[in-house]
Amino acid sequence: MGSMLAGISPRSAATSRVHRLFRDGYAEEKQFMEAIGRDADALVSEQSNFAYLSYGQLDWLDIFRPIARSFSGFASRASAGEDSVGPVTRWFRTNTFYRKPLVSGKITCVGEELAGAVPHSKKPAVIFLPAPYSLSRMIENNFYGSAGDLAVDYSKALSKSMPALLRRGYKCVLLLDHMVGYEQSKGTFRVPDWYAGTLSSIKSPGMKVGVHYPSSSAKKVVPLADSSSIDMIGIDAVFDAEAKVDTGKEMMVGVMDSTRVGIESEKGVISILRKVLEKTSFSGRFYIGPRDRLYDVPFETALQKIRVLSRINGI
Amino acid sequence: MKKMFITQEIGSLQRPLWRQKLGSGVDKPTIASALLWGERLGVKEVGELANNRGTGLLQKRKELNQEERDRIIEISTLYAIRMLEAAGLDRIFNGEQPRTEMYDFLARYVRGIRTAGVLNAFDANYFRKGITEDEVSIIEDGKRFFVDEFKFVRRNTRKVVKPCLTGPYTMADWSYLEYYLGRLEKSGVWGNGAMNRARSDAVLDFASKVLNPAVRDLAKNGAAVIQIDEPGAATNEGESRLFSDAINASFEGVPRNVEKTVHLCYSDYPSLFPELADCVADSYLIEFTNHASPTNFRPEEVDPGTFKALRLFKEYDMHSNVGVGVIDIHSDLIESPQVVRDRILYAAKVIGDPSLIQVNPDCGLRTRRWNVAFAKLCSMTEGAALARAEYGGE
Repeated sequence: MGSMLAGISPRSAATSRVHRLFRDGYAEEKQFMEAIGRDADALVSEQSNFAYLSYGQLDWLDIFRPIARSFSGFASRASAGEDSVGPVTRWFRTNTFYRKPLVSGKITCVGEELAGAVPHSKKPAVIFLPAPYSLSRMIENNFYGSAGDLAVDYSKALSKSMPALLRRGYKCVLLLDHMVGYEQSKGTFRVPDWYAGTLSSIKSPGMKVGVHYPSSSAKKVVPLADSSSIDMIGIDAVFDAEAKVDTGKEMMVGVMDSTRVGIESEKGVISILRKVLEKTSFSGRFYIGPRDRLYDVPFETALQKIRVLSRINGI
Repeated sequence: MKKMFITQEIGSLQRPLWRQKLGSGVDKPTIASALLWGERLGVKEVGELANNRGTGLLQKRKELNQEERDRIIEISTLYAIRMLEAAGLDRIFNGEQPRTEMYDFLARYVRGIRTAGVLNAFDANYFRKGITEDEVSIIEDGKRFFVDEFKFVRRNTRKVVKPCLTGPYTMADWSYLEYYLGRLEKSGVWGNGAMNRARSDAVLDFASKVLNPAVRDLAKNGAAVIQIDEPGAATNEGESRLFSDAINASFEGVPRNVEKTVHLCYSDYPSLFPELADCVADSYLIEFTNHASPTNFRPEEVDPGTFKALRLFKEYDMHSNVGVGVIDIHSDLIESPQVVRDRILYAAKVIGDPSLIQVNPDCGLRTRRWNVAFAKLCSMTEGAALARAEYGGE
């Protein structure tokens, strides 16, 4: 068993102050990045026994931003600063938002674009990226004739980015497929025929690739990725602890509630985990982590939750 | 005759630069900026900030006492009032200068809640999120705060004063509902069912025990328009009945002649229907521009959800006013008056009755510096005048 996070992390109150000052022109970018570095170091140091470490991607303004800013095919709208990326759009059922990327051409990349994400550790690291399906549903497509064509090109671009990420120290890519659970809850999800294929095309020797499904019913999402060639499937056991899962993949089990501020007891988490494992069949390793990104709890709370995961990992 | 396309702000403005710098040392350029804005806006009290004798509040070398700090808040409120007046708005408030942030300031006046920490909303915008530790209710100081704030603005302007309060749905949605969840879990209700019940209990408590006492006091003290801000509306689809019930509970007992206004933004507006039609609100001020190009107006760029919402206001025969957000608060680009006019005229056409259209920015202008906010508001009022001219008005 190993541990890993399941998405980007929050910044500390001190860093948020510097960020605002930087936005308003009263602090330098260097000061902001130094503050980010301090938070990243604190996050990483709490994950010392994790299978894959994450610096929280604290310098990413949202999960799409570096992709929208650096890959070809994404447009800038006639505006200034971050506003040029796209309109402010609600992030599912939260009070947080992302800027909706605007696609105006063929999505391609050189391969080095994501290498700016510095892991802040020499240990194997995990990077979180939007899954092809979610990206295709959460951006504004002004170019492709179909979401499938867009998802295919995006997957190819991600695949091309793998060597640079490996050189950076990333050994795991966790694709986040939030839109699946969201649409399932609304009854609007239909599996596109390209779904598994786009996941399969994201690969590189030495890189573990997984897909995680926050706020989803495990029995509904595991079959989606099971037919692809990815290595790992992540399920949200806080949302759905009852599902019976049978897969030939490795598993990531989200056992910690990243939407609540209360700190789980080790006993409580282990009991959720035990319940899931009793009904689950999988091959190889399994990992535990939060059900979703820790971005929705304050920084100190995130550190505390990571500590609990770290202790369970040690048991 | 009722004025067409009345203009108003939504709520917040940034603190003036001189106030932002108070904690970290006020330098000469900052004092110069305070004087410049003070003179430009006709703030009579500018001499209290800086003067030739060197006795201004910004010139003090030692830490300010409580009385001086209170006066600083009053003067920055006067700056905001004069700025909004100078921009030519019909309805104004205080730029929320006495407040910290829309969630945090109210949470401080709520029994049963404490701050859990800071979260990122987007870009460099952060908010404090609270945690419920007991049933929520407003404390007496909170009610007094709203009335004092309202009276101060009314004493200092001839414009229509529109106080605003953060709404019950948003307050609950932006809080960790640990108390409400814990109460249910103790009685054996778990999982998603518990979360739904907890949300409902908390929203209705915020409505009846926090918002309603404050709103009634404002009405009793002469507020002719009261705005409830609900940026969190539609966060969870399937709660539109709860949302409407909460708005109605918040305005319960408020006289009919008080204009009851709700501000919505960055939400899936159509998902609030049909229940929104049961709301007692007279006006809905919505974000409209975010999705559109800031440089020219093309109807096809209007977000389909926003367009649909406009149609739904008409379809449900609500006869409520619709405040159209014609200013993007996330961009420094200044919309031209012509773009503003075109957005207003387009909304008027969709709604089918221009007399129901009001004009506002997408949301509070706290995200922009003063020179940008001022220029945007001036453009907004000029654009509204152009739109009126299209209908033969002034």
